[in-house]
Amino acid sequence: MKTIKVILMALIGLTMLTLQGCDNSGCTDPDSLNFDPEATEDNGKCDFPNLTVNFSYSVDGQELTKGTTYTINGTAISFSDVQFYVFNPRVAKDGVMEATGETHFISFDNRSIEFEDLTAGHKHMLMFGLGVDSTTNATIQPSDSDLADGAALGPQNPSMHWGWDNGYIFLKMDGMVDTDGDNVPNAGMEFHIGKNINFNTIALEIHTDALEDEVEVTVDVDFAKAFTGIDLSKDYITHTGDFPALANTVINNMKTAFAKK
Amino acid sequence: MNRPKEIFMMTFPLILLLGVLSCLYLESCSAKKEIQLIDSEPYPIEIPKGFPDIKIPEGNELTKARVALGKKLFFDPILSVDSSLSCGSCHLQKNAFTDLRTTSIGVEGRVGPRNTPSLVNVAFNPYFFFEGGSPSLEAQSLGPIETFHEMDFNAALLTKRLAADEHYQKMAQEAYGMEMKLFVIVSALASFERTLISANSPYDRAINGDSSAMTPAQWRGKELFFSDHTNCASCHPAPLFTNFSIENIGLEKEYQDKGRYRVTLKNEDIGKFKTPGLRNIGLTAPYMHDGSLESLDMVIEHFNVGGLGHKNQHPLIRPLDLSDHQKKDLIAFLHALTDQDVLLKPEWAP
Ligand code: HEC
Ligand code: HEC
Repeated sequence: MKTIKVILMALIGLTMLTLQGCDNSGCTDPDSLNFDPEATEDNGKCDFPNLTVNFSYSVDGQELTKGTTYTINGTAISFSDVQFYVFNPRVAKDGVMEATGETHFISFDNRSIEFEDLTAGHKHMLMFGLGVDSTTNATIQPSDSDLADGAALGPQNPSMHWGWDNGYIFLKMDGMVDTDGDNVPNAGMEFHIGKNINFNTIALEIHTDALEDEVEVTVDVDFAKAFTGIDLSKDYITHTGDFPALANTVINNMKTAFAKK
Repeated sequence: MNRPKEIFMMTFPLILLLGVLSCLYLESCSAKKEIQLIDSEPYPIEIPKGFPDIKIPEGNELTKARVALGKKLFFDPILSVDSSLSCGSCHLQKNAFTDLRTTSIGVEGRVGPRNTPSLVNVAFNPYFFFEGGSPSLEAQSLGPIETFHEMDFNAALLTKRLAADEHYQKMAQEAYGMEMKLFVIVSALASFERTLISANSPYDRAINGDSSAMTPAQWRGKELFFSDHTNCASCHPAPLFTNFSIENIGLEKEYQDKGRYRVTLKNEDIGKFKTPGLRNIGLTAPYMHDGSLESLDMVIEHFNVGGLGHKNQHPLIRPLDLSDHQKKDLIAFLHALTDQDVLLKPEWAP
């Protein structure tokens, strides 16, 4: 069936081409990649750039990989899961925002988001919510029937929903820390941060020219920054409600963790 | 010169043919998808006289197929990480859907922080868990499935596990007309739980005309319970014997488990817990969110003393100066709320 479809498409394409005369038609959108200033009639074939943002995980300049031991603030630490939500990412061009309008789930296995069909030009800033907004938190459940299979807000493994409370976990960092000073992580670390008061906007300069079909930018996330001012050998568990101050410090620290590579 | 036209003339019939063919092909596909075996025979439930209506979310109307699937899931240990524990392992029919433990015990013997509440008449609750953070029965079941000290599993993995089971797939199709997914699991569980409705206690029979259904002590206890002396009924009003308000009753001076605070992060919510319904209370010892009061005598003593005096304590929790007789009468009345039917209904049994 596939080949028939391909043939069909080709034939349709061919007829369209042959039917078209040589008038003054072209792409008339100045925000496209193939803007034709001569064109007087739009041919409906404007191309716009796609922008992929890749998040790379690091600890103080070293790549962050699962299970590797690092030292943060003098404490040995390893990570088993590091995942978060990116809410409605936007890029700014001359003060105009363009958004994906979606919530994206970022984890060890899935670290990119894509903006489709942006306007061509220089993208100054990238902005997004770290977590999900209060409306999403109040109205969406991972079990909702209208969520597509694999949707960001659907069930995740490990879970990104509290279960006993209404709402999503914005940032989850699980692993081990060293609490007895031998530089070997020995105690379970759990940073599960959520709740509306901890929903922050992250804004960073990306200065990226979106002037090709596919443009990529890498944003480094330095998780060492998350723990600024925290003694990890003592404070290494928060599920937000049981230690709100620690959760709040970490999520606010995250504002400084993102930078264009 | 005329080439474009020629090409067009040559290809046109072909395009037409292919178009018709592909339309046919697409049609047959979508038709296949629509053949679903939804069994929509409603499940009849009877709302007891004087009880409020129950809220059922759109798309989860009670049907026999949904209740049957929910019941199978409720009693199936496949829901826990190591397939050792079902919902019914902690919510036992013979104990009015509680476990009689101080606090619950989950997979690998993990002791939880809270006492298991009864699920009888849970359909009427506006929100769930002791801090009232979960908004629906559907949303609620993610809690036990994923909590470390309960079933310690994961919703995404559970969905995969159940989707691999032919029998569950068939039941999912019959109940919801779709493949096994998280929506089906939580909706079916909620459907079964909504059928756990019963109101056939001596109290119910007494207020419906059979005054001999309650003993004289129970009648005296009823007076006290609904009086301004005790104010029990301002938080525990009939017919459900709760208004679901979330209150601090001065159970502790220093709350380890901060209750409602976990949801709101507000200091004035420390130590506040959802007021439990008191139906079948004689069957569900020990009491309170942490199971810290072993008997109804201890509960009455707690209210008689007027709590331990926490700063968030509700003003109605104050010394009551009850006589021994009055305490006995109150307890007798609480036993009049026991509905033996809940222990016996075959449709609720595993
Ligand atoms: C390990 C024992 C255990 C298991 C297994 C368990 N529960 Fe529970 N259940 C509890 C405890 C303890 C609570 C109270 C928890 C709280 O409020 O934090 C509870 C609370 C509930 C509530 C809330 C009742 C209310 O009035 O707020 C519902 C509904 C419920 N469970 C249904 C289920 C379902 C459905 C399952 C299976 C998916 C299940 N439970 C599995 C122990 C258990
Ligand atoms: C200010 C509201 C309020 C008043 C007044 C009140 N209660 Fe309660 N009651 C509660 C709350 C809230 C709980 C649960 C507290 C907890 O778990 O920490 C509770 C728990 C109980 C329980 C244990 C329920 C269970 O399943 O564990 C019983 C029994 C009870 N109350 C009986 C009474 C009686 C009898 C009176 C009158 C003497 C009374 N209550 C007055 C709010 C109230």
